[in-house]
Amino acid sequence: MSKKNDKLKIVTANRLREGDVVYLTDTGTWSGHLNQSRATRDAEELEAMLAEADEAVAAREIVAPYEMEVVEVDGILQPLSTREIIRAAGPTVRADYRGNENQRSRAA
Amino acid sequence: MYRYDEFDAAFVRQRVKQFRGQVERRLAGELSEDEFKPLRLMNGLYLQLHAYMLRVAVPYGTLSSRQMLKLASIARDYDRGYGHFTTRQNIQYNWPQLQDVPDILDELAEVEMHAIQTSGNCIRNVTADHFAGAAADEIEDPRIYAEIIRQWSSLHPEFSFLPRKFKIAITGAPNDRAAVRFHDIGLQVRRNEAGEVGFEVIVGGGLGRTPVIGTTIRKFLPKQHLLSYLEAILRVYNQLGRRDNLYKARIKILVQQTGAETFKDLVEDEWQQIKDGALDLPAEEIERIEAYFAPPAFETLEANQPAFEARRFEDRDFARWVRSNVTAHKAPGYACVTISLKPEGEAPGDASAEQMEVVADLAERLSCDEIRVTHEQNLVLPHVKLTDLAEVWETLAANGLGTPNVGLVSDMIACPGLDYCNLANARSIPVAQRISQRFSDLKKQHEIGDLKIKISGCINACGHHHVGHIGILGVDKKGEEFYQITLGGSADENAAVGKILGPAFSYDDVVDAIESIVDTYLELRGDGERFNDTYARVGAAPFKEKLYAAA
Repeated sequence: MSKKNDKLKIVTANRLREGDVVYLTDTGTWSGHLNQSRATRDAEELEAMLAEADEAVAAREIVAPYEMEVVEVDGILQPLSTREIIRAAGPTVRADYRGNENQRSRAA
Repeated sequence: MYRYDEFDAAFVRQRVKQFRGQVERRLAGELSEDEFKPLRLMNGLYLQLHAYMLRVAVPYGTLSSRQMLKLASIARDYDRGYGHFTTRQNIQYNWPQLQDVPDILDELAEVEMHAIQTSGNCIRNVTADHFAGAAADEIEDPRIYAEIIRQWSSLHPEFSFLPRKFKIAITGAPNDRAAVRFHDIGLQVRRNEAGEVGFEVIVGGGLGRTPVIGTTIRKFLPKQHLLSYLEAILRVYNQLGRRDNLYKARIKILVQQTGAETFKDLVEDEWQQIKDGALDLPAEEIERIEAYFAPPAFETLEANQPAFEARRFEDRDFARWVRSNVTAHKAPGYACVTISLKPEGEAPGDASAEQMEVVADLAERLSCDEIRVTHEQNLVLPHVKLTDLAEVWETLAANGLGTPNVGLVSDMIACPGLDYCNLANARSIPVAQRISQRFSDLKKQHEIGDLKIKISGCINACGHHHVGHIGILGVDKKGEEFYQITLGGSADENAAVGKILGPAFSYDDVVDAIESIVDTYLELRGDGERFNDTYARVGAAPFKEKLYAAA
């Protein structure tokens, strides 16, 4: 019987080469979109996700992974803290430069 | 300007090559992140909130047009088209990719620039008065000594692993524009009774969670002893500074805990061991460096230029810009122009690649090929003829660089805050943007006059909030951004640390609070009183009364 954790959590990191913010998805890939992330309330599942992240670190795909809390509103995931909202959406101060790797003007 | 000699060029190239190898080994898995992190930090590369961030040193804030053009092309080719000028006269790129950084560093090396010692527990970029070599009130150009210190401190093996980071600032003028009393070591060029030029040495100043005004430990240090005396200070600190507690590791804590007198004695004892030795600065060596900073060949001009005066009377916008953004120059017929990087509603200190190119072009044509970065996050064209001011102004204004607000309420220092920084608790930049929008009426800004607002997004105080006439500190209260206000700080020769006014304000309310404080000042100020004069005279009570009574 797995332990239940009240908090809904996802795992985030930065891509090693590019530095972009990414989130662990259901299929074990890393996406620039928070809403593609795998979310869990299960402590054991979260541990398994963090172990997956450690493997991705070892494989030099990502760097500095950590768990973070989200809330689900009408099926949409939102970060709980202001910090993570800004991290997901980009700086609030330069609308012209907002966005993640998927909207970057420069090709990778 | 100083040009790299063979030694400088070689060590910068060598370091780029070394870092390229380290990045390759990291990407190939031969280095772990734990192994790589200190190496990338030694080269100014951080991992921030969204991405990597590269901090590039602008030694003593001086740039040539060629260097500025390179900064612009790096912003365009490797980043998102802009850069951020910082309070330590550096530039930060917010979005570089790790795989590109060795190429960026190679490009910087082409123009004698690098990111060495812009991070880590070492002696950082030496900062100086941004009007150095141009200011009317200057005793000597402080960059000569900043450059000597740069050469001594670059890759200094003994001081590569200090207890904590170490910042040195130097000013050559009695009006302190380099905040020398808030640095680990501050140097103020002084003339003694015999007419000789030397330095007042100030130690243990700083901001952060423990703001301290530096203590003068030597009123007059003859020039030839500059390096041996600095080395003695660094040795005492390196030996006795705390390494067990990050928050007590700066030299200011050591000076406080040992006591300034004892600290001074320790430095003097150490100094006696090394004085008049290898670190002695012979006059010829000072002259050699001085030659690099020889003033440009200024034309012989009348101090009064009728065409310039006529334009001021003719054009109110030009007159307003001259009043706030133009400063007296030591050469007749010339002026120092401060380019505001604080246009209404924009991020303080940000400049686009195109703007950098505009500044580079103006500098090359009309400012003896020189540009400065100020610790207040603006740029300076230090040597502009009065007769060229109108053209400079028109070009700047056409490119979003002509805001006439230097030294005024909207000329704020703001740290990157929670929009970019991994350490921040709250946003700074949008607070600055909203304040500049609230005070969008430039006429009113000029009526308010000199007023320094400084905003930090956390207690580390990168936004210098402690020394703002009005300081704003972002704090986190149960996941929400709140802002604590301090009054009465000052970073100049009247150094003071601001005092907390009362309970913090929410993100939504903080701009109203600032406006209330400014209004109270306007109601109470006497003739010619600056904000801190009024505050010193009436105290916090009237400000509090108005601010908290409404709540």
